[in-house]
Amino acid sequence: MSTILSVEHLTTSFGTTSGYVPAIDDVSFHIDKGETLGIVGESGCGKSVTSLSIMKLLTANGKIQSGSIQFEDRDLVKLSEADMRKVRGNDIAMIFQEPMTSLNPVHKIGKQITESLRIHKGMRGPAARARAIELLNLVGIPRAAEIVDEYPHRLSGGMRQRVMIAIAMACDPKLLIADEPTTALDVTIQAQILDLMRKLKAERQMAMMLITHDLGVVAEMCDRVVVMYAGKVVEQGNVRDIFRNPTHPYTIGLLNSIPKLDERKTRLDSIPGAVPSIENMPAGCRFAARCEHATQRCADADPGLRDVSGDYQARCVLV
Amino acid sequence: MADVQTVEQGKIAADKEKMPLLVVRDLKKHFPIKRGLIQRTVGHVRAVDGVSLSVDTGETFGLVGESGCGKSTTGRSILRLIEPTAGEILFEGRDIRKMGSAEMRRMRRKMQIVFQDPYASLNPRYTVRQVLEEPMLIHNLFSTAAERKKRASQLMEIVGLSPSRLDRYPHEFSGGQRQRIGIARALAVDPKLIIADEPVSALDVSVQSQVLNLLDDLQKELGLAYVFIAHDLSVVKHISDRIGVMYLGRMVELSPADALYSEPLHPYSQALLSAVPVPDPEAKRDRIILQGDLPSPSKPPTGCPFHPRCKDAKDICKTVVPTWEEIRPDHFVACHLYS
Repeated sequence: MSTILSVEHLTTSFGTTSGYVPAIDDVSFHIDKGETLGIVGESGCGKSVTSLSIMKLLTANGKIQSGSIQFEDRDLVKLSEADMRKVRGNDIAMIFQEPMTSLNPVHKIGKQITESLRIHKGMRGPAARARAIELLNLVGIPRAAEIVDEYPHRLSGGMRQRVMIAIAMACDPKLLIADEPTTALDVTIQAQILDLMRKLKAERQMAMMLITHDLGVVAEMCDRVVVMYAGKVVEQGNVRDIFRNPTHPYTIGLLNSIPKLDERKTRLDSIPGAVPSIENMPAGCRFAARCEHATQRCADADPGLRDVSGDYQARCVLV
Repeated sequence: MADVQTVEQGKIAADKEKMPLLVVRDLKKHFPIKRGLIQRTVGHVRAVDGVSLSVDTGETFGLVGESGCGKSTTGRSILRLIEPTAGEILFEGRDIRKMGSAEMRRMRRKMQIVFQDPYASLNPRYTVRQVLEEPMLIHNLFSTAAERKKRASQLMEIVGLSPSRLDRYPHEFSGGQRQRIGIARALAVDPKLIIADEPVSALDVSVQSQVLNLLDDLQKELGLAYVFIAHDLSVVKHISDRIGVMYLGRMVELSPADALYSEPLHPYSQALLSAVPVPDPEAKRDRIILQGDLPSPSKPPTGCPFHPRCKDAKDICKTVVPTWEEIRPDHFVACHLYS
C-alpha cells in the first residue's frame, strides 16, 4: 500500500518562561492510503500537538523545531502559509473534540459548509447550497434542506458533530484527522458517529488519523495504533498485536487499568504515580519512574524504538 | 410507582433491623421554565420524574444514564442541595424533606458529596488544610486546633497523600490527587453515605483506576455506602452492587450489577450496553444503534418516554406509561414488553 502521510523525527516545542520545551520529541509514523491510524495516550502525551503540527495550526508560542511531514509529494513543514491554506480543508480535513465550540455560532450551518467549497472549489450560489444539502444528507441529518438555514445552537451535540463531519467531507479530503471526535458525546450518540465515520471512510477510501484516549474506540476503528507517552512514541504496530501482545509496560498498564464490562474483578490494576512534567523530563526512559521493571539502565538512557517484529516497534529495553 | 413502594415497604416490614440506610420514594424535581417580562412560568422541565431507590449500609448503588437523564439532579436532590419538588427521602428512617435547616445541617454530616471536576470543586485560595478543616469547623467536630490538625493529617494518609503537603494549594496537585482531596473532604465529618457524582470522569484511565481502588478500600474499611453516578458503564459495573438505569428523568431498570450486564431487560439498557466500545479488536459486536436524539425533558413523549427511539415499540408504548415491575427477584423494569 502506498503511504499518504509520513511524519519523520518531528519535534514541536512551546515557548515558556524557561525557554522552548518540546511537547513532542522525535515522533515518527506513517499512514497508508485508506488506512485508519489511531494515536492513543493520556492527557499531555502530545497526541493533539502532533495533529496540530501536521495541520500547522499551532498557537503563536509553538513551533516545529525539526523533522518533516511528508504529505504525498510535499513536505508540509516547508510549505508557506498561503500554500498550507490550500491543503487545509481540501486535502487534509480535521474534526475536533468540541462540536459545541468548533462551529461559529453567528453563521448559518449552510454558510459554514459552503465556505470551503467556495475557497477550494470556487463553487457559489445555488450549486454550493445544493452541495451543502447533499453533504448534510450524507452525514445523516434529517430535514437537511431546513437545517442548512439554521444556526448551530438549534442542534444537539451529536448533530453538531455530524455537521462538523459534513464540513470536513466537503472537498473530499484524502486524509481526515479526527481529534477526540466522540469524547464529548454520550455512548449511544458516540456509536452513531463512529458508525458514520466508518461508513464514510470505506466509501471514499479516505485515510484517517484518529486521536483518542479511549482504547475501546481504538479497538473498534483502527488498523494500526501509535501509543504516545510524555511526548514520545512508545509503541506502534498492528491493532491486533497491540491488544493481544502489548510489549511496552505503559501499554500493558493502560490496558489493564480499564474496567471491562465482561469481567468481574474486585481490584483494578493501576499505574502508580503520574506523568512527568514537560519541563522536567528524565534523561532516560520517560516511563521508568512508574515502571515495575525499571532498572538503572532505563534511567540512564532512552532505549529508542526497537523492532519487535515486522511492523511493530516498542521503546523499551525489555525488547 | 405504587408497586415499588409496596415492595419497599414489604421489605421494610419483613426485616426492620436491616432497614436500608437511604430510601428514596417517587422523587420528583421539576424546574420551572420562565418567560417574558414578568417571568411567567410557561412549563416545566421534568428533570427527575418519579425515581425510587434504596441503598443499604456498605452498599454501592450505581446510577447510569446519558446527559440530561436526571442522574445528577437525583443525586443533588437526595442531599437537598436542590430542593425536590415531591417525594420522600428517608435517611435512617427519617424523612429529611421534613427537616428544618438546623436539623438538615446536622444531617449533612452523615451524607456527603464528591463532585466531578476536581479543578472546580476545591477553593483555589484555600490550602488543603483549610479545605479539610472547613467541614470540621462547620460541624463543630473538634474543640481544639491541634485535634483538627491531627484529623487533617490522618485524612491525608487515608486517601494516600502525604500529610507534609497539607499547607499547599490545590493547583500544586494533579487531577487525581485533587480528587483524593475531594474525597478526604467528604470523609472529614465521618459520613455514612457519599454521593459520588461522576468522580472519575475527568481523570485519565490510569489515574481513574487508582481512585476507583481507593473508593473501594474506603468502603471496606469505613463501611460507607455510595451512590455512584456516572455515564461510563464499565466503571459503574466495576464498582456497583446494584445499578439503576435512568432515561429522561425516570428509572427504567434496576437490578444487581451482574444481572444488568448479563441480561439487560429494558431495550434502552440493551442499547446503552451494546454501545460501549469494547477494548478488543477481535470482539464480536452486536451493536444496537439508537436512532435520533434524547427528547427534551420539557416535552417528554407520551406513554413510555423511550418509545420514539425503541426498536421494539408497540402501540401501547405510545400512550400508556409502563408500570414498574419486579420481573425477577431484585430485577425491576418499566417496560410493556414484560407486562
